[in-house]
Amino acid sequence: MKNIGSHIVENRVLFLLVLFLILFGVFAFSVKGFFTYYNLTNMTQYGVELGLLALAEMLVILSGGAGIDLSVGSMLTIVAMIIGVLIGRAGFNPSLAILIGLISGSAMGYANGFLVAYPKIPPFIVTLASLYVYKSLAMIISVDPRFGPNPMPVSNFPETFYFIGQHRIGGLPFQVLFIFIPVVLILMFLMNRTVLGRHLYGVGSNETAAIFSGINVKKIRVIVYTLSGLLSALAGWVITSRIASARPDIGTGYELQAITIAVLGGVSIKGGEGTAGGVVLSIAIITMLYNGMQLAGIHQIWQLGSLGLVLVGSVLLNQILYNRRKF
Amino acid sequence: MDAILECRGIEKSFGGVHALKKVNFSLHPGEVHALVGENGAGKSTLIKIISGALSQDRGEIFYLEKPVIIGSPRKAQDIGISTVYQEPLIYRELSVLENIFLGREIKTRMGNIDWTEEEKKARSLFESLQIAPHFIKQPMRDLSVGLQQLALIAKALVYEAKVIIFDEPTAILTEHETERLFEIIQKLKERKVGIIYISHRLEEIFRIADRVTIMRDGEVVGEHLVGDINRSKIVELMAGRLLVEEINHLGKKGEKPILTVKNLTRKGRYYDIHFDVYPGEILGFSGLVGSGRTDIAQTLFGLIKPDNGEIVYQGKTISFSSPEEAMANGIAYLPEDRKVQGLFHILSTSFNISVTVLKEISSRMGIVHNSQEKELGKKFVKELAIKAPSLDSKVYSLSGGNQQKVVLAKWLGVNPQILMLDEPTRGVDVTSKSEIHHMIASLAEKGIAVIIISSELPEILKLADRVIVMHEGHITGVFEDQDITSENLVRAATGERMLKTKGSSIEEKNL
Repeated sequence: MKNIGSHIVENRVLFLLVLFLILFGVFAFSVKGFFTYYNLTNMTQYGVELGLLALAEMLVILSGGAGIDLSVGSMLTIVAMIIGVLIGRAGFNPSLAILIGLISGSAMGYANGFLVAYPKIPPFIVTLASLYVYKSLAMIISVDPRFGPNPMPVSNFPETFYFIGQHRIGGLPFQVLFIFIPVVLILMFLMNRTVLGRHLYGVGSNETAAIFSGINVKKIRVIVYTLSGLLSALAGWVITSRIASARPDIGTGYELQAITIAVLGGVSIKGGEGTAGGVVLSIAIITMLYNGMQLAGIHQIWQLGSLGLVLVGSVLLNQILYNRRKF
Repeated sequence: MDAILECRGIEKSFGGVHALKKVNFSLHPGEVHALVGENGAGKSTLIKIISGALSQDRGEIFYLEKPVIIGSPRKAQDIGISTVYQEPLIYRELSVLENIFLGREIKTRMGNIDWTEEEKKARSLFESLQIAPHFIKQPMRDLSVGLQQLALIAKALVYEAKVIIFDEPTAILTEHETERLFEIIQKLKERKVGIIYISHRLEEIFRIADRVTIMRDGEVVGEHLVGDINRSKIVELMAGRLLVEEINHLGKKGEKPILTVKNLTRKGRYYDIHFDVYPGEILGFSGLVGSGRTDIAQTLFGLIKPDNGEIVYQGKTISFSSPEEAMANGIAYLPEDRKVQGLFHILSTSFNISVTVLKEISSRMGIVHNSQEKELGKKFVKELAIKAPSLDSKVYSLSGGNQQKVVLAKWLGVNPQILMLDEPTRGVDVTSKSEIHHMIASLAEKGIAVIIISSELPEILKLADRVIVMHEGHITGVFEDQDITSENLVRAATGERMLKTKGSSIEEKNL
């Protein structure tokens, strides 16, 4: 006798949807300026960068084997710096600089994946190490010898570079329409409809059975970390364009928020379980929460705490409802 | 004598499924009461209720003549109902002693654990079961499964168990360990412990049980004293129809071998292995677990690298470096441990069936054709009579027999030239087993070379055209036709060298 209630409790995505709607309702009624077309469209841009990183975490965690990528924030930063330095200081054509940035991000992700898959170093250790290495490299790159030995942000970009991060179509931010949504759609397609996607879930849910089924586990691991690098690089590009500056400290702390959002979105830390839909909803909830709190005049310092509370609260609520449910 | 445990009118439903219907079950002290039935008959549900893992919807349980609500496994254990599962629930890193006394530690007056006293008690416990307790200080992980089980039995006795439930205890034991377990069960009977014994091996029931309750579709369909019933009657009650035991395998063996193995050695695993496999035959590998059978199969499947020797497949010398490569060349291997090696438990039935053939049902770009995947799933669900609510059902929700059929489907989809089946019916109910056997026979008839590795003699005797027996990494016997007898197989498996040379009769010499 399954009713809608037990479906919601059992299905993390539905549960998040309900949570999203409730939160939306609360903010729409109680916070002035929240339920306006401008605000609703405008706030989406703030979810893009963290969202891309959360999707990267989703892939890595999903692939199992204690998969985790602590270096996403550092990869974001270093790509931002690469793009910034190439355009702002070396005078590269922006498109070329962006391309180089995306390739570098993928290469750094590949390096993580290689170390995880072949010498079999635990992902936590590999990416903890690369978190520091990439972060340090980002600072090294940002040094402008003309102004001494300290890391310096870059902010002299040509007007065209701001297009992706600051332009709008019908009020909707460009990066949402042309980067985030396509990325989500591609990932959904990849995960649900392709051989690669099946292999990803297979490796994540049971690595031994995957080997016995003829799945190339090492290849999947390398691909997943490489994609994580690419998504982080995309986020690095978008954030640089949005804030019109490449800063060597910009991605600090993003990795843990990204992991939190992925887990909130229903990605099982054990691997093999999770959907892009769930993670997108989770991003939407967090973005809306930050925005609603800001409009309600709550100081930014409350943001990270609220993220933690939502994580624990939603899992707790889900569990209580699950346990109270009658079979 | 009065019953220690009595269940009256137990009812249990899961969603729409009526898992137990007015089940009555009783247990007397010093009695072995066997509980049999196919997977899905309700045995496990009943056991879970008695051991506190589930609670019944209706009905009463009387324990020591008083109505009880068991409620949790912890409470069950505390009041004296212990369960020994097929795969022992243990703390691998703790010592045997710590495992045994966990939750019932003997304490000194200071509140510390009294190790000397615990050790003394554990020793006397094991000695009373006539087992030399040389292993009690070792960590549990170093023990064989058989000894782990014994430790759990000892733990049950520490908890002064009056009821011990054995859930398929012999499924993963060697013959020797099984014998020892039976002796211990005898000792437990003498101590007036009531034993509920679940097994798929009916022979065992006639050896050790006093009474047998047969379940089918959530109901008790018969309760008999073992002396009053025979095997075929039990099977009839379980299945609801008589099972055909004969297998008609009319396969025509090919002329030329499809695979020839020469001189294959991998130190520590197997030595100097020679054999041929012909299309259309069923080649059995017999011998004890750990005799090297599985290692040879895994070598052919690209999982283990041999130190030397040659594998000739379809006329070419091969050396596969991964299962991927072996599969691409038409070699499939159904692994022995379906839980760990065979299935993706948290994923759907459909996923599990199609995972090995994704290349064939996808476009060049790697996009899976959903309709073809569904068709494939439907085809196998029908062909193998897999009982699953839908193709989207998670595999963990299926019964053992149906899970095994899913693993089989997974490998049949590959359309292999050589199909290696490692313990294809382990932990599977009687009906599914018979269905799987027929399936295997029909595959050989289609011209597939089937290699079957099995620890169950009847399975080998029933199916194999030729049998290779291994002992400690060496081939000790190759048998054909009328030479395939249980006696020959057992002799070779225990290390007697019985290799037949061309034209002569069986040559016997001791290793």
